[in-house]
This record gives sequence, C-alpha cells and structure tokens, in this order.
Amino acid sequence: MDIINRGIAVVALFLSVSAFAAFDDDLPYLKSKWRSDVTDKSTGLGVEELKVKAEKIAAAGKGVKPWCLVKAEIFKMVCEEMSVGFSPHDAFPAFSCWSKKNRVLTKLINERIAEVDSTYCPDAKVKSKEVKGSILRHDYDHAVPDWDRILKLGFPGIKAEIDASKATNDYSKAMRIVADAMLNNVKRLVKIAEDSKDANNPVIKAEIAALKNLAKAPPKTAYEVMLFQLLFFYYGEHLDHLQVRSLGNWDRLLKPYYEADLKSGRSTREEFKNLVKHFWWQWGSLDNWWGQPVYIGGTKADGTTEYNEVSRIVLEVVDEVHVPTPKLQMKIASNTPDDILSKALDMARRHRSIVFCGEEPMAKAMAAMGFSAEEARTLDIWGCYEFQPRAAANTTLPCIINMPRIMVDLLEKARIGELKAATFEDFEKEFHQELERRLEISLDVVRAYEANMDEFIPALVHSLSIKSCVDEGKNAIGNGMKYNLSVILQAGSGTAVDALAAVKEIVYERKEMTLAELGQVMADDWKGHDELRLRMRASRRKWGNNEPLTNKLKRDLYRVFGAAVNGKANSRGGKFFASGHSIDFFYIMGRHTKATPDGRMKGEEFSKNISPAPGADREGPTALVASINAIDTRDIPGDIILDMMIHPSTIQGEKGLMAMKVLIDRYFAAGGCAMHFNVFSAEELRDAQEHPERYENLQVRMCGWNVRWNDLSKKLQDAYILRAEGVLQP
Amino acid sequence: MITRREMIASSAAFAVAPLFARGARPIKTPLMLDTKRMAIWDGPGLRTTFFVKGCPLKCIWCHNPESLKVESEWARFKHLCRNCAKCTMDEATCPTRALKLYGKAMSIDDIVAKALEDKPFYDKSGGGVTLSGGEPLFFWEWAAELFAAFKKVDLHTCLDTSLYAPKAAIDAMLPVTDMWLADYKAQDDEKHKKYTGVSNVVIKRNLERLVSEKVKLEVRCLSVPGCTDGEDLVNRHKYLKSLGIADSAVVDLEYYDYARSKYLALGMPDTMPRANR
Ligand code: SF4
Repeated sequence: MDIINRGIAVVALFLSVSAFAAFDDDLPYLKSKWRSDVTDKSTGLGVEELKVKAEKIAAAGKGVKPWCLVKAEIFKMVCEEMSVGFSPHDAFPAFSCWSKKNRVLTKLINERIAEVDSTYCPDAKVKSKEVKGSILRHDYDHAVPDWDRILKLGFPGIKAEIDASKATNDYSKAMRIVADAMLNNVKRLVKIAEDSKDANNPVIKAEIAALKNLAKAPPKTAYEVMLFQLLFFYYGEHLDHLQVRSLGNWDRLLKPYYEADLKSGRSTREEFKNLVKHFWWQWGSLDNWWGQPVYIGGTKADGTTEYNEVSRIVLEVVDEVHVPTPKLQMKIASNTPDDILSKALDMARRHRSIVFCGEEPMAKAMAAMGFSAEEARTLDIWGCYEFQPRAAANTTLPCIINMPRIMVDLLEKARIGELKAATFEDFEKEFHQELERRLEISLDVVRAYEANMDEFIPALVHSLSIKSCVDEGKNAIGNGMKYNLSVILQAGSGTAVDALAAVKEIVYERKEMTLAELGQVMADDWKGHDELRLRMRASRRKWGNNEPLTNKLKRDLYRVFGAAVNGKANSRGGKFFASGHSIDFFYIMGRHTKATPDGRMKGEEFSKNISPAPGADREGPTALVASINAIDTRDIPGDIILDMMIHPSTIQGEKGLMAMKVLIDRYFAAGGCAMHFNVFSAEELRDAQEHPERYENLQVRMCGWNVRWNDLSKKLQDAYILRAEGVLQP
Repeated sequence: MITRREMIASSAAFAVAPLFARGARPIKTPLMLDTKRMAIWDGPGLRTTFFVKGCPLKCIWCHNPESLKVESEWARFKHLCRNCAKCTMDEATCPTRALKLYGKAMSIDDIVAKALEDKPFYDKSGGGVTLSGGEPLFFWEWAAELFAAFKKVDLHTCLDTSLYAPKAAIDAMLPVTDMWLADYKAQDDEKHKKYTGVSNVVIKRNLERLVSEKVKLEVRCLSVPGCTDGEDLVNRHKYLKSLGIADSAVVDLEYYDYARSKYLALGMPDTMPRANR
C-alpha cells in the first residue's frame, strides 16, 4: 500500500468510529433491527424462500450424501443468496435470517433427530417417560468458539487451516465448504455495500473498509474484531443452527486492539465506547429472551487481574444502554480491582444484567471434575453461568430432574396404600432410592440420545474454530473435543427439601395425619386444609435459613444426586456431572406439578438453582449464604448458583456495597460459584404490576438472564412478589 | 461487678435514675424482642443486632413501641389475620403469621450462639454484635455479662443506648464495649422531659463521662418535626462540639412515622408525631 492509500485507509477507519458519536440518533434503527427483517430485498432472498431451497437440497442429498455435506451445501446456498442490508445508523450489517425462532435449518434438524432416534434408539423416548415430570432431551445447542484462535486467523486463515488439514473424511470436506462460504459471504457483503445507495455515507464507507480487510486478513482494529464476532456468531448461530453461548473473555480479547487503536490515533476512548454501544445493541435488540452471554475479567498466569480499561468501558456501556442482553458475567477473585467490583455491584443494585462468578469456587468445582488448575484459570463462562475448559470442552444439558415430583409420586403411592414408612428416616430413604432409580434411567436414555450426535448436528462453523477438530476432521459438539461433558440439572431441590421437612413435621412429629392422609390432601390440592397450607408456607423450617434439619436434608439430597451421576461415563467418550442449575424449569415444571407438603399449591413454581423456595429464606442473606456451607459443593460441580433477593434498603449507600461484597465473598468461600442479586421490595413490585408504564426499564433476574418486568406473565410477576415479601426488611 | 442489689442500695442511683428503682424495673434479665442479621447501620461492618424489651424512657415518637414494656406482649396484625374459627394463640401455628409474641426468653449462651452464626461475615467486614432495644442499660448487669461473653469469643461489641443509666452501669459496660452508639434526643431539658418522660441531666453526665474515657463513640440526633427539630438540633450540635466530639462522630437521623401499625397491633394509643414525608 502506498502512502496516499494508507492515508485514506486511516481516515476511513477514523471516520468509522467517530461516525458513531451520536448513538442516541441511531437507537430507533438499532432497536428495530433484529425485531424485523430490515434487509434490502433487491440483494437476495428472505428466510421463507431460503427454507424452500434448503429443503430441495436436503431432499436431493437424502440417502446420497452424508448429512454433514448436505448441511454444508445448505449453508453455502444461504451465504450466497440471503438478502442483507446496510444502514448509516448501524456499524454492522443486517441479514434476512434474523429470527432465532425461524431459522432455515430448524425443521430439517428436528427431522434428522427423529430419524436418528428411530434408527438408533427407538425405545429411549418410552423409557424417558418413566422419569416422571422430568425432562430428557436432545440437547446440543451450546458452543463456545475458540475466540483467541479465530481472531488471530480471521476468515482467510480459517479457510487456509482447514484447506491444509490432513483430514480427508466427509466431515472435513463439509468444513471446507463452510469455511469457503463464510469468506465468500464477506466478499459478497463488500460488493453489496459498495453498490448500495448509501455507499458514500461515512458509516457505510468505514464498514466497507473493515469488511474488505476481513476478506483478506484477520481483524486488526477493535471495530474489525466486533464485526468479525458478529459475523462468526451469525454464521454459527443463525445459519449453522448452533447457539454461540459466549462472546468470550471480551475485555481480555479486545484490549490489544483497543490499545493499538488509541496509540495509532484511530480512535478515542469515547468513540470506542460508542462503538461498543452499537455492538451491545446488536444483541439488545435480537429477539431472544434467553440472552447472549459474554464475560469479562479473570486472572493472568502471573496472578494479576485481566480487568483493564475495556472492562470499565463495558461496565459503563451496560449501565448506560440498560438492555437485558448481552448478559454480562464477571469473574471475581481477590485480585479484582475494587473500582470494578464496586461499580458492578452498584449496577446490580440497579437491576443491570450481571452475574458474579467466583474464580476460586469455580476452580474447586473444576478440580472435583478432574480438570487442572490451568484449565480452571482459563475456563470459559458460557450460557447462564456454566463453565468449562476453554477451547477443550463441550457440554450438553440433556436432563433436568424434577425433584418435587418424586415427593408427589411417593405421597400418591402412600395414598393408595402402596407405600408405608414407619419413620421419617424410612421415608427419606424411599425418596433417595427413587431419585437414584430415576437418575439411572435418565443416564441410560441420555447415552442413547447422545451416541449419534454427529448424525443430526454436525457443528461445522463451530468446529472450524477448534484446532483439534480442524486437524482431525471431528465434530466439536459430538465426541470431537478433549472433554465431552453431559451435565444433569435439577429443578426444585429447595422445594423438595422443604417438602421433606414438612412431611417430618406433619406426619412424624406432630402426627397431625398419616402419610396416606397427607397424600390425599396433596391430591386435593390442599382443599379444606387451607390453614395447614398457610402454616407450612409460613414455616421457618425451610432451606435457606441455615436451619439444621433442612441443611442436613439438602446435603443428603445432593450427596445422593452427585453419587449417582458424577464421573459416570456418557456415550461420547466423556463423563456425566451433576449440577445445581435449573435454567427456567423451576417454573415450567412447577406449572405441571401437583401440590407439595411445604405449602406449595399445584402449579406454583419451585425453588430455582440451589436457592430457597420463593419467600422461604426469612432469616436474611447471611443465613442464606451460611446455608451453603452445609452442602458439599463437590456433589454438584456442574454449577452452583444462588439467587439472592434483597430488600433495597438493606444495601443502600457505601455500607450497602460493603455488605454486598461481604456476601459474595462469603458465598464464594462456601463453594458457591455464581450469584445473582434481585434487589426489590414487594411494594415496588406491586406498584410495577399496577403501573407497568412507570416501569418500562425494570428488569428482574429470571435465571441466567434478565427479563423486562413488563414481559412477565401476571403469574410470574406474582411469584416474584411472593419472593420479595419473604425478604427481611431492616 | 456491682450487683443490682448494690445498685439499688446506692442512693446515687436513685437520685440520678429513679426509674431504675425496684418497682419500675421488675426483672434483671430482659426478654428479647428481635434479632436483626446483616445490620449495616448499627456500627461498623456487618452486624447482628439484638433487641431487648423494656425501656425507662417513653418517647412519644418511639418506632419500637413493642420495646417499651419489660413484660412480653401479644400483637395481632389485623391486615394479616384471617379470623380463624379458633385462634391458635401460637406464633408457630398461626397460618399467616398475624400473631407475634413480643418478648421471648433467650439465655446468654443462646444469644452468643446466634451471634456466632454470622462470625465469618463480621470477620470479613470488621463487624460484630450490637445490643439495642429498648434500653440495654435498663438491664446493665445482664448486659455487662452478655458483652463479657461476646468478648470471650472475640466479637466486636456495640452498645446502642439512650445513656439514661446510673454511673454503675457505665462503669460495668466500659471494659466490654468496643463502641458506643448514643442517642441524644433533646438539648432543652423541658422538651426532653416532655417528649421522653425523663430529664437529660443524667444523659449529659454520662456522655461527658464517655468523652473523658475516650471511647469510640457515635452520637445520634433524631430530629422530630415540631418537637426536636430546628433550634434544638442546632443546640445539640453546639453542645456536642463543646464536648470535643468530632462532627464525623455525630449522625443526624431523619424521622419516619412508619411504626403506626405496631401501635395498633399492640392496642396502644398512637403517639407518633407526623413525619415530614
Ligand atoms: S391463628 Fe393467626 S390468623 Fe388465625 S385468628 Fe389467630 S392470629 Fe388470626
């Protein structure tokens, strides 16, 4: 490049970032971008037309070519033919396949799954019905690309590596097609942008310059990194149909590019921040309520923190744009700078979407799973707050055990005279044995479901990011990683423990009725026993109050759960692990589960994660955190998550921040891995329910993600209010 | 340690604090009202605050009216009560927690055990335990014994008090109290008598004593609209300054009248002045 051309390139890049200074003007476009198809239809096809073409390719390939090659051809077709769009209000392109709920491949993949099931495990579905009320599913939809590697390679490098790979199998051939298609798509984007009516607009010009560079080299500027990430995410999640469950260790990844931009004068801090706002809004407006994860922080090999100026900018952006997603996870350790932790906790008090993840307890959990200290130091956080070794693992979440359902079924057996337990200890033993039985069946079903993952979900884009998969032509989602993990989740363990405590009180201590009679009361959904129900609901003998009985019941429950799962072999050359995570099944399963003796009525939600049931933790946050000491967190190393509801007045001001710091510190010391805060008073939530218009921006923590209060159903809102009512006030 | 008998025998005690006399103070060991964990406004760090029941003062604005009497009391919160066919008269079995028994016996061992539950939180934050009420110094022999027990297990102690207490109480508490949180309610003694039922002479004497002993001290000045706000607050500040108490150790508290429902539940006349907001 001669001097004049270089000068132009620098000017163009400079424009690229300064052009986004007026973020507020761009917001209306950004908000609409992922909620509707804003592409220019003259550039190509919409999603419905692409689906028709895809089905034709699939039909032609059926029985002729392996599915991975068919899928690669569909990918290539979509890259070549989908419509795209550019706007002077946006630093990033728009695509016709924007909707998560309407992706080109969804139907075809579901058909593949059905086919694979009928071929390889025809009776698995029937068997799964024995695990009543629980979920056994084909779970594959989580991938964390090796961002470090692919940012160094760029699209041309990704193609060069797979072209040079010695692997010659069908899978590697499919990867070659996909790598080629991605690179060609970038070139196609350049061409379309250059031909667009806004080609001379400074924003589009900058976008063209950046895309041109991505078509021939790895990203060089912070803007190019973001553009690359959005494109790779889009290719993987929207076209190849595999969710990209983390944008990676974002502050660490962006730091060198940001610093180089500053040094060369390409960008100022303010301009970079505006660009990050544009980037954040790509996901802010993407219509998926489960959110896009990204994490910051960590510890370097020399023991110092990874937090840097980019981390601070990210926090500022999250604070200012205040959208539920991307959902931000933060690695917290003793080296975390105090200004960062204070800012983040203050933001959590103001309902920003942040999860606090302890590096030390995560390392402890990783050690229990057999991973090295170095793998723990560099682990990726993904999804809601799950974690795994970076670029070396995949994780499926194929089973969610419904714990309260075991209680429901045992009491029903008692009601019809098929179960008798002379002592509470006998009853608890029955409960444990039934849990073990259900887990044994579940692991078998999961083994059957997962044995042939390659046949339905060749993860081509994702596999291109993983070195070993490129070298060996392997699927990074099936059995192609060093660690192929299957994690068993649970929902309602807190509710189950409270229900056990209630059985002890009603049947064995106060002897108010027999087990069979209690079974009848549950079958009648407490009809005629309202006072007993309210009393059980109001009882303080509930998990989360650091109370001896429920502490012991919870510890024993997890011990049984862990022993039946941890370290058992899955069918992908990896292992099973138990987790305290429940995603959103605490209310999905709750809706379909009958009454339980803890005062819960039929259809009401369960406790979530390892947390107490709604409104049960009446002794306050310190007792709740201290309760965690009662369990052996190594029993549920897959993840240990606590949701803490705090009354806002308890944590006001500087002293309130101090209290939050102490709470998370003690929680991590007890072995808990991830912590959410929901800082609300019941009055505030009641007011929000009555006057939704005043609370447009109010967000609550659902599970791993924030949701807008106004998007929740009345029933879910009521559950939050109930939980807030149990919160201690000062 | 000076016993209660000795204290009562001391004419000085009668002179400075007549309410500490036998009749007004029927028990030596208080009933406990409540335990508040993760308290952040009752001294440094995270704390557990224990509330005793019983107070020699009768402030008209008291936001803990359940703490005035030394005897236990039942309260029934009407908005929660569902008028069962037969009231259980038992907190544990009242289905809606409408019933509350204010004042429960708790041994010193039990209190210490409860306090120790949150020790890791105190250690991390420089916190500890706070004794509040009611008026802890109404039961000062017991309070000194309790604080000695706290010190034995290495807990930082704060005493939240009106300082309406005999000299002997201060003597007993000094060695076992790490920090004093003292209320100073009114400078004008007539107002003090009118609104709290007692004179501030003893309180001022005790405050001066604490300053001379160089204890760690925080003085709290509540300003109640129409009673102790405005000039009285200014005068209190002046007085505290004249004692050499640093501004940073004086905390002005805003008055709220949120406790009305408790007066109602206890069947007590609501004496709370109206708050500004
Ligand atoms: S038991 Fe509780 S709810 Fe029932 S009448 Fe008594 S106070 Fe009211």
